[in-house]
Amino acid sequence: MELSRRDFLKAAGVGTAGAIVLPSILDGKLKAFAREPSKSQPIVWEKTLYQSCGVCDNTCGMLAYVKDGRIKWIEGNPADALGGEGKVCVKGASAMRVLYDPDRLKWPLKRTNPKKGKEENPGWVKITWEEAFSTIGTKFNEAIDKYGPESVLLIVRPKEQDTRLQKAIGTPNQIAHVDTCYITHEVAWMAMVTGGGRSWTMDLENAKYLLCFGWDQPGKSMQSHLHGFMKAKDNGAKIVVFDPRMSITASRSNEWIPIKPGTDLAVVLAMMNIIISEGLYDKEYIAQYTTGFDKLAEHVKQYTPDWAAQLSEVPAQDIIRIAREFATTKPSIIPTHKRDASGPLYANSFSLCQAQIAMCALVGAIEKPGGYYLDRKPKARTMDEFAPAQYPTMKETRRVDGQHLFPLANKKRKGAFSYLAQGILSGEPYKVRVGLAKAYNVLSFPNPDTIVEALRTLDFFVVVDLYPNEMCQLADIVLPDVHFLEKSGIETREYHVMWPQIMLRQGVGALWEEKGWGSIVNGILEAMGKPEFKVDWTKLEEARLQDAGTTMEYLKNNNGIWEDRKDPVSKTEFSTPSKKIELYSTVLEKEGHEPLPTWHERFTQPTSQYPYYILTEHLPWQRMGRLSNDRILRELLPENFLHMDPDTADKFGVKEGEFVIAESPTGESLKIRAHITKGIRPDCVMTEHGFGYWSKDMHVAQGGGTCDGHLLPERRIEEAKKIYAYNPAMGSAILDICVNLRKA
Amino acid sequence: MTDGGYTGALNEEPAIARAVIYRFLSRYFSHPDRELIELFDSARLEEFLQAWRCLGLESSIDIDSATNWLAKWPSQEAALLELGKEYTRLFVTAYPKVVAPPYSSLYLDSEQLVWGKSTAEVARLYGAAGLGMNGNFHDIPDHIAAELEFTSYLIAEQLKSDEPCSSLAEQLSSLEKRFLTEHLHRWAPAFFSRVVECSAMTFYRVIADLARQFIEWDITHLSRT
Repeated sequence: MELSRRDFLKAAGVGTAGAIVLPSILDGKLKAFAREPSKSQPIVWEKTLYQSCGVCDNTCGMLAYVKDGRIKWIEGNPADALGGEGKVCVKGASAMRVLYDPDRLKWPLKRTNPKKGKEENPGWVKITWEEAFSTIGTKFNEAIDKYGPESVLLIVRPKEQDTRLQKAIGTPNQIAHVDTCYITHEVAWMAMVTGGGRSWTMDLENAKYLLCFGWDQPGKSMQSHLHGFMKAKDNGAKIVVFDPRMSITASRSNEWIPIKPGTDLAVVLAMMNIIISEGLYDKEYIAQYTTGFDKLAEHVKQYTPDWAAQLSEVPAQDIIRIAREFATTKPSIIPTHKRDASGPLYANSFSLCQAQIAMCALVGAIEKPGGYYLDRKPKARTMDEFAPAQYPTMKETRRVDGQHLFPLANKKRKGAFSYLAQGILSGEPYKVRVGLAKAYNVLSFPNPDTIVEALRTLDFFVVVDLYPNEMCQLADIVLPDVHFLEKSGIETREYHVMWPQIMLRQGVGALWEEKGWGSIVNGILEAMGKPEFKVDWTKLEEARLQDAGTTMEYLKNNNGIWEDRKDPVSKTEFSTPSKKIELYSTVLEKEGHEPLPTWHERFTQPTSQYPYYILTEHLPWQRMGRLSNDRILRELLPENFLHMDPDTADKFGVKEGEFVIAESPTGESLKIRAHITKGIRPDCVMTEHGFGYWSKDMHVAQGGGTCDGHLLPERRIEEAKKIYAYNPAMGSAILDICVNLRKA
Repeated sequence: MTDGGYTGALNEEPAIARAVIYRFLSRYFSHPDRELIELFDSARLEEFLQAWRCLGLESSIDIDSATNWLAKWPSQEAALLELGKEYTRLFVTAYPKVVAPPYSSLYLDSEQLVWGKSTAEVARLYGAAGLGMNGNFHDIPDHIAAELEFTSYLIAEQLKSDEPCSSLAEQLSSLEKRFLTEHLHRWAPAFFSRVVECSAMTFYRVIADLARQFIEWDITHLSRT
């Protein structure tokens, strides 16, 4: 087609006199740009921002250096004496690469392919927040109208905004991962010491003796523990580690004792027997701060070192020697955190927790220098105090994970991952119909294929996350979560709270349209016709600063940190019925649980069919999948291995790096390369967690290794009920299983 | 001015045509909305086609198949859902892989992250032209739609300049050249090629093909000035 230049000029509106009228498309407003500064998004080209690390809950103070409009470098805020002490760990230092990861979720998405599954393309389409919220509001309300509020499943943390959403909806089903992580600690501390949660604060620095049972926090690069540990070491503390394998902590210890998995309880009980019978306990402390000593003393007489030695394969003379050292080298402490031997790894982990608290009390290691301190958080109003709300009465209190049958665990209302799949699939006590998961991956569940199957049965499922991970593959709507480096506001210290501390967050702002969880909860509440439960976060934070006696201005002008720094004054009363540390727990007794720590076997022992204990390790550069898609960290270990003793490897004729198959009674098996090491008991094998991603949308994480969870058991509520007497926490006993090996 | 050159306001027609095409393309590669569909109404489309012909590019045009593709849907909503699905798959989040991430840093910088070195450079050039990122844009400065719109803006501003040879026009002209040679022209061909090769949808394949042809034309002509 011929079009003369004159025609074009005419059409384009170019006048012959030289004045130009541009074609109408060019009259349109600019979309990406604004000429008026008031309408434009200013770019911060160069600045040092205060931050508080959001990768793990240690919330280390950070300085994030912005250059050329982006965060180029992160280091520790030297003013933070409780978290990083001026340093960041590998996770914090890598956080900016997650922030700028092109695989991140950017906008709300909805599924257009109704089929859900590993190999199904969800057919995502970008939608607006309005559409996302309104769909969620409609679907949730429809389910509530038809099946009751209990048909809503919230797989979220037990944080205040999560709980507000749960209470506003009126569902009992708020479910977190704590049964696979630390619920034993929470319930044991609640029953014996605090009436609330556990202590997250240890004065390791001033301890002279660290007696560790599977505790490997220095190996998880959690800085407040790592620094305390290193300082204790520098101060000449003795460190003894009981662990079936040579953990990083064990490798830095004075003594590594490769104990048989799940027998730590026997050792601690026998040690208490020695400490009490030899009169080595802190008599003054016991008299002043505890109750039930006589009952404990009588009770542990049955647990002799020879008996414990037989079970644990730790020589009796070592048990005796270490018990004496522990009681006489003071201050001494049994450090714990999460997923150590007294985390919910085995059926008897709760009893171990009880025993460890009692043993710490015997040497006066609670509320004393070098021991545990109860957290000293700043005085601040709760969300409900700030914004009082009339929650609907919860008519159905039975839970889909069965936790209502365990009143003490249910008091924390934290839920149980490992029982969820069976609850959903059995439809007992009722069916859940719609759900929402926030920052949780199916790969964190034991036997993940079962939870995938269970979540697929929901009529409607929402996922809030940073990445399009495996959980998103099951979602109808995906909402992009904000990265902590984008967030502004404040952070109150939750771990290692020797004194109250509030940190400033100065975010770079959302790169795309991500929203913070608080805003998302508000959006859902609004869409559900429940605006009265919404919370103004900015005002809440202001109120809390006011409660603490400080301001945002103060934080900005004082290295981004407010703290009420003082040496802790030891508490003399505890929140138990007797106001003392209850060695004999009346709280446990009242609920029909064993009031004293009592020996029980773990669920499973090696058999000829499944002859090996399985152990797992969480790597120091990973944290709940948040860093799994980072190229540089992935290079550190592109795939996981099955660690085994040389003799074990010889049995199968397996050489380093060759494939073996690990088979589990879950019915699953893993093909995995062998790593041969003397750092593990010959009857154990171990693999690293955090591999086997199958979401195709995370391009670095996917492939590479296998998911340990396939070997681990999900639980049925009947299993938990059978051991009710010593299982008040309803832990997952996540490693309480044995596996078989064969050469691939 | 050199013969056939177009970078100054003295050669308005090809300049207008370029501004028009860049502006259309920036809309084509924005998230699909009603406005996108309206661009394929006959009057608006003619504006694009005239610009296209003006540059002597008519022989290779296949925009009819894009128009026909749009016309086959029973409603705008239906068409927009399909466009949205493909747009999301091509550029946002996709199973198994985003086909063509729309950010320069993923083509020009070594880190494979967004907000790379090239992002900062283009954002500075926007600033030099007196523009900031729109508060409602919610995306990264080196998004293809932003870079295309920016080029269109620079050319249109040169055209609007009262004195074609004024220092402002000169400034804008040199900014445009720099922006194109150092940024857009360096990655747009690869970006559009990926879309042409991998889009399963006629609509995006056709407009990406148009875009690729145009950018190639623009690269060739810019190198002659």
